[in-house]
Amino acid sequence: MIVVNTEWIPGYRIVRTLGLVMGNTVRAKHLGRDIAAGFKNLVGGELKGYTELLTESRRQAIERMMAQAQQLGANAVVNVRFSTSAVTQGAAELYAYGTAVVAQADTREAVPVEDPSSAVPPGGGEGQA
Amino acid sequence: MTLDLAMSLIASVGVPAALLLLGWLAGRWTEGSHLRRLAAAEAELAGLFLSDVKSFPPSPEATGGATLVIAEVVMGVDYLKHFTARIRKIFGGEVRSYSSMMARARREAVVRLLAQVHAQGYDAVCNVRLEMADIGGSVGPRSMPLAAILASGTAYRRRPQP
Repeated sequence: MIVVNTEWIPGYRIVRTLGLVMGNTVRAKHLGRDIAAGFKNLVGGELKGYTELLTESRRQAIERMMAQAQQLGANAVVNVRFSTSAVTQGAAELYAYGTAVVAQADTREAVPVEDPSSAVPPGGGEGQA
Repeated sequence: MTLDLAMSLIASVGVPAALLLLGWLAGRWTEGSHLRRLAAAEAELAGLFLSDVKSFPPSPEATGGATLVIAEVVMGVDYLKHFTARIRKIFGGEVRSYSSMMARARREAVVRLLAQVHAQGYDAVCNVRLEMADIGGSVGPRSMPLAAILASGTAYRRRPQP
């Protein structure tokens, strides 16, 4: 399955738009990781346990989103966005969403491309810190 | 009596002082080596094209598919920087110890993103988004300063494949 965070896929034509698909997960770090991060915070640098937590949550959220897209019969998800929230101290939610589409490899010479300025919806809304 | 006094002095002054010293020495060392690693990685990946527009520059007719790339990094500061930041909050102004933490975390995230782009055989990435991830550790009364960065983008081929 092709997943991109742009509105179209180079070399492909979007033949059908199936709608919004999403996946979320709330994961917690175990106590050991919290303690290790506390120690690591004395000397500074990367907190690997928390990076891993983000990686795992992100994978799981995307997998769920892709499973939903597959159920709809899509072969690609475009315009994927992420959003995170700290539900409670020690647990993080990661939410991934995008638009499920059916894309077809474009074999023609010139690819018709919509004007990118008109394709961008006003105000992205997400993405800012 | 004197022993009690000495013990409490060590506990109240000695331990924080030791942590500050540890933070200063270890923090300087980790920051220095991280900045060197970043500079080396950035030089190595300089050939890749990075942008935050949605239209696959230079030409929207790029071919050869595309894929989502994501990188995440969580960084903290050392004890000394935490301490100086608290002092800074009394007087106000730029909290340099935290600006440098955020800058390093973002650079690291971009380097990881580019490394993935390169590893998957693409030569450009567009629509790069860098957002601050909200993870539990960064809230609450006993909060640790954390820079949790989630970077995403779409990798594609700028040059047509031979």
